[in-house]
Amino acid sequence: MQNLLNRALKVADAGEVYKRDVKTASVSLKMGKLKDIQGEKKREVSLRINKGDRMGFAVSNSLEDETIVERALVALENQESKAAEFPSESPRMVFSYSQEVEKLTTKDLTVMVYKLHDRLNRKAPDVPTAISIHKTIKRVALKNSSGFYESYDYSNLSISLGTITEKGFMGASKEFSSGKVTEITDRELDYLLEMHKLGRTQITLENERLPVIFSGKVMGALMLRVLGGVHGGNVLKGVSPVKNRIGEQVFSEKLTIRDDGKMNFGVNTCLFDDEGTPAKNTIIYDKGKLKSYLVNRDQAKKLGQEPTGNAIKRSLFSKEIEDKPSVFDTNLIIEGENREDELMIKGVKRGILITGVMGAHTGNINQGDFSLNISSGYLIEEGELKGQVKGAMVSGNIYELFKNVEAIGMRYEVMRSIFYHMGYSPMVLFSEASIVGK
Amino acid sequence: MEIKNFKYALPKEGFSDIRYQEYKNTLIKGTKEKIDEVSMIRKNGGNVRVLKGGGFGNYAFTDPADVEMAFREATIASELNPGKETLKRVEFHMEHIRVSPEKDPRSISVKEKKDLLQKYIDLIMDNSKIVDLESQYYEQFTDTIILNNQGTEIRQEELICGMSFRMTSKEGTLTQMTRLSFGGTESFDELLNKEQEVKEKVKQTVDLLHAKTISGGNYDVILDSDVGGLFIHEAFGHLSESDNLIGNQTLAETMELGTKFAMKDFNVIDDPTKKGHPGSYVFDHEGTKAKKVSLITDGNLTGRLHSMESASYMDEDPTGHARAKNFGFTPIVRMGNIYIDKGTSTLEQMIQSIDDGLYLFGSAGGQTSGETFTFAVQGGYRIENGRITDMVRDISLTGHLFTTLKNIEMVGNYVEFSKAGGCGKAGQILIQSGKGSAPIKIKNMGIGGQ
Repeated sequence: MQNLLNRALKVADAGEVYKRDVKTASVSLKMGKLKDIQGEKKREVSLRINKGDRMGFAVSNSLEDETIVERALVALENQESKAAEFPSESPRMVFSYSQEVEKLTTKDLTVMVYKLHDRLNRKAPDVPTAISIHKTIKRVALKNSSGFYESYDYSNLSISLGTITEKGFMGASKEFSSGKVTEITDRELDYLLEMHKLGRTQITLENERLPVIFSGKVMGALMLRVLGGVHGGNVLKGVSPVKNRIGEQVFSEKLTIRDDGKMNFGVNTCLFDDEGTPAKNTIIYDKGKLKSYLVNRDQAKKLGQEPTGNAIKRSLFSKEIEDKPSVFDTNLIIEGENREDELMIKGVKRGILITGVMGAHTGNINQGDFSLNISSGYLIEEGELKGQVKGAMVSGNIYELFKNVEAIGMRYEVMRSIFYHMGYSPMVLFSEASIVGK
Repeated sequence: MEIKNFKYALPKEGFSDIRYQEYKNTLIKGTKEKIDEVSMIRKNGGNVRVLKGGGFGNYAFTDPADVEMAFREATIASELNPGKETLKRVEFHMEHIRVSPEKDPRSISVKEKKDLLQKYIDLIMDNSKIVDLESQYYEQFTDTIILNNQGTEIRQEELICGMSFRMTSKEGTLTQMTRLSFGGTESFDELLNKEQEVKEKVKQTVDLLHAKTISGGNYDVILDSDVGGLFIHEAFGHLSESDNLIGNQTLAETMELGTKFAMKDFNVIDDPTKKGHPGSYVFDHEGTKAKKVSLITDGNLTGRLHSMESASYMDEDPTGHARAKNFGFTPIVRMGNIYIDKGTSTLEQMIQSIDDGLYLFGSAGGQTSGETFTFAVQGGYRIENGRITDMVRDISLTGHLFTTLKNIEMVGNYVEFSKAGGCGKAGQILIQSGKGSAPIKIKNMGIGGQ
């Protein structure tokens, strides 16, 4: 890394080399038969340089790439990005890596999927399943010309459990994602099978306004819109609905949202972000009151706040390094006035539990609009789950919906934002949402 | 990047292949005012597969020195899968495909590309009602080697360039967002002289601020070619990707060839060999020659998209539709250029046939899960008593595939293709995926409004 930095500093005033070595393995089992087993070992390298008041950026797979400095210079000369600030603050320790995960071989993962299959099969021999396990190990290092030279290890084990319907389509599903090996309890398997069973009773709804419970997983579709609002770039561009609203009561006081990059073994836990800012625990909404935006170093300066450690080199649809760092979530955590999950469902006279949605990436995300197909949802009547809702949509705007939080559950699930996991949430009950039925 | 550096490492036993790729991408991104990012990305790496046991073992790498290790890992992975699968349907080819665009974007300077993008940015921002804009020029050149131990030796160049814009208009607290794309082909020519299209899209984006909202419910709709392309891509195209059928007998029965899905005038084709669209290519990423596939003919299911594995499983011919985002991913079955072929109705006849319905324009993203699908549109018009009336906004659609296909009542007499490609599946966003359609009329479509 030092050699590349030296090469860069021959033509630039300041520089930063980022290196990420990634190893992954994934195994999946569908209807009791192993599918492709995949592995990967890749290196990703990026260079940022400052010259005068400008910044340039380039990406490669190798520290020895002879064109990377030249490409960063072309970028610098052609783009109007201001010179980046390269920090020197040393980060404190975080728990982002488990040796136990790294030690798992592809064979171990294969044994794990078979065991999960056997457990489900013993409980419900007639229910076909789809199970997958994905292991990731990353070694991330960042060195800049301000003297920062730090690295950290990251591990993740993500498990997806699903059932298959009589017509061969995906039925109920559950996802788990952690930096360490976590046991899946019988209660979770029973829950999955119960949801599958409910799918056999199909219910059509009218167009109506109903209380709605979003499961922890599907809260991700809504949190994508929360993120659009507190994204420092959107605030600066003037397209955020919460611009100039720090301190205001925006959401229900029952709801607290924070972004915790330091969370022990979280799905996106990191020692520092991709600009070198140490990971932080940022309260975004405290009891519904807007406390902070999520910002990179440049936006922090412009908005007069501290950088929050959310500058990540990825895009909405790719975790490969393709762009300069942009603002993304680390581990978004939803907290608040808790109620046991079962009690929450029992308290609903007529409403819907939504456990799967489609279309999270459509509509005006930054404005908070959503119009989601309920790919997996269940009608609740008199506190009982009655059957699966067929062909319905839920639509609205989070700045209305989040004012109407009734209660927040106890059991945390990993949230999904389209392709990737974005933190953890329990189920959340909203007093009313617009449902489009038949 | 030389073939001999990889060919020697191919294991002899069972089936093995390697795809090694060099990517040269140029991305120029603009805000509502200026060009704020120019990225010139170079990436290279390989992806190997071995079929020795009961399924493929697959391994991706970025250091060419890791090729032998990658094959060892892929062999171990394949052998972990009990049984011994073989590929019954494999094509062998030895060819070198080179691109020869009319106007090669690689020969154009970054400055010229920037200036063109800036010209369109200025034109869009000239309207004071437009408050935000994301704009992008993208160019991707790929040099790919595909080798297997059955004799295939292919080297293929691919090139695609285009521009895309997302513009937001605002009045009071109301905002509206639309999308515009040019290009999606290998020639830079396709990006020039688009001022008129830009102006029309700006006007439409601003007009949407005065459009009415509609109540959610069921409507008879006409989808324009762009939305029709998105519909057939999401609702049916993904289901025609046969990797879904491997090991899933019940789904295979649902998708039995000959099954009646739609009216007689309804035909769906996927054609990667059709030149000049985002999903045009010669060989897929397994080295199979791309073929035009008639998926629905006269309303009946007549074909599906295959990889070597799915073709072998179904005992059908490979169609050349196994592709990957890049070397980091294993090839999976993807659409090339999918489209609803032209029928016999004029647009006027379609509009006249509706007493109370909607004409919808401009795709804005969609998703599918098995037999249900959803997608958003940029806007629309009400149709009342056979005539287009008020503009309407904030519309998304949802439906059940098989019911919706049966509800298609009329197919327009011309086909247009979208200039923007792109499709996500299994964590892989593929920009080289094209779509098109004739305008279509669907009765009783589920619409999510306000």
